[in-house]
Amino acid sequence: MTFYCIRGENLSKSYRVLGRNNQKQLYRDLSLAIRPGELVGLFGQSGCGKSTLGDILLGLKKPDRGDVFWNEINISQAGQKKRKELRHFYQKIHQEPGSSFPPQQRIEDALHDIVRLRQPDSDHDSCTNKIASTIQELHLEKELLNRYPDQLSGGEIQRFALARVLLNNPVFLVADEPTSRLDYSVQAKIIRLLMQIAAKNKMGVLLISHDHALLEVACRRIVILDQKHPEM
Amino acid sequence: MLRVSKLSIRSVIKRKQPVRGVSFSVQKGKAFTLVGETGSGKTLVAQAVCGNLSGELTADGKIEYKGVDLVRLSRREKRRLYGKELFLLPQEPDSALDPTMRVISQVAEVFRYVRGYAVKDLHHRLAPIFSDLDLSLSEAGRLYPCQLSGGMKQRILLAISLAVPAGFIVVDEPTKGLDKLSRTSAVHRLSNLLEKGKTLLCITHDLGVARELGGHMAVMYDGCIVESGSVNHVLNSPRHPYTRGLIGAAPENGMIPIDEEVLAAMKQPEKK
Repeated sequence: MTFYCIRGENLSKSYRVLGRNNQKQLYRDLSLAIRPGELVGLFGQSGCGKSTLGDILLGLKKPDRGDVFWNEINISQAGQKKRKELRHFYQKIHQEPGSSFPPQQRIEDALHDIVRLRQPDSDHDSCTNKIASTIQELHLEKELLNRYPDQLSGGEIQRFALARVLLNNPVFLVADEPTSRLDYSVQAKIIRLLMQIAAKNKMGVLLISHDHALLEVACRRIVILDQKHPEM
Repeated sequence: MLRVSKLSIRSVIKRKQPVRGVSFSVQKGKAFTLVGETGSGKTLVAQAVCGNLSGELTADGKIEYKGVDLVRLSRREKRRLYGKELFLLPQEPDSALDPTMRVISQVAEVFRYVRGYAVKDLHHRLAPIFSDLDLSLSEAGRLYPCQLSGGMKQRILLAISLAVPAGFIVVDEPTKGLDKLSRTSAVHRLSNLLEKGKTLLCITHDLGVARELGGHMAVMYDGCIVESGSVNHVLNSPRHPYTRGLIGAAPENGMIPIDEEVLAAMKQPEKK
């Protein structure tokens, strides 16, 4: 039996259009499963529900119908304790990576907080070493750790957002338009890094993008969200 | 129409020169596109042309627009020119829209003061302008900026730009963060401006935008122009390794990151 790090089964979602009396159906009976280390693309135009599907898989939004399984555990039926236990293995990076960091805190302190949250017993040196090895993997210089989020370029802050996620040892990551505001050269660097890390850490990734060409390079499998018929 | 010669921009506080010796010229009725990665200085060049460099930055060199040097304009002369002949469509439309006003009021205000339209005529004068931009005056017009998508906000700014008889429009990152459909229509609208005889200076990291607008282009890296020429020439037979790298990094060309050695060789020591 194939093991999936995340699985959505027969998911349906609709929402009420503001100011009107009708429901808009985003998808009906959509099923999607991702294996560890697999990078799956999610393509569709703005407003077709790509980010909502990512949020449903991460348990941040509830589907109208259907189930989501984390490591084959149905999270809608699992207790709060179990969900909390698994929560940090299911991560997300956004289009605006700056929003992942408090503006008044140096990047290093923000990353230290994450390591201590996961390993409360770890001392300062082991935290520093863990952060150093993670950022080295992402080709980031140590000096940048002393900066505040607004002192970093778009590519640098996105890689720090990725570092922040990796410090949680995730098994699944939703990368929601991670490079749509970056230029081509930085985009190429970040997507290649994401591909390497997914394969190395056996991390499943749902890469959301409205750029089909990008998904064709990065992913073996692309899910196309059409508002009526999701095409797999 | 616009000739930039040996433009350098210096930061007084950081003692850095983020733009060094940039020269190019824009022909009337044509597009000129400046491409390059984040931090290459392309937006600073646009800001220097539009006279809105932040206080800590000073420009040296010449920016001649119809024979007038924009670098040495007095405040009063600037006011006469900017917004009337030269218009900037900024990268972040939010920075140009008032978050507390409905968009219709903001567009109407400009048309009232610039064109002198009477209040009672505004509705039927603005309706065709909105529908040309695929916006509904009665629906989108009643919303506040925070309720609009990025593409819609850009279209609202474009509607405002139509109030002024500007012949020269500077567009900063017109496709940033837009999906494919919105991107196509944004570029199509820019082509329409060219057809109407406007001159465009477009700042973008999207090489496709340069290809679709045509005309001439320059590639910037680390504050300098590394290659310039007609769009066809630069994109079809690039001479500089950085331009080749930038083309190869586009998703449709395989998304190959630019060789670090090429980048390191191009980094110039900054003049203090």
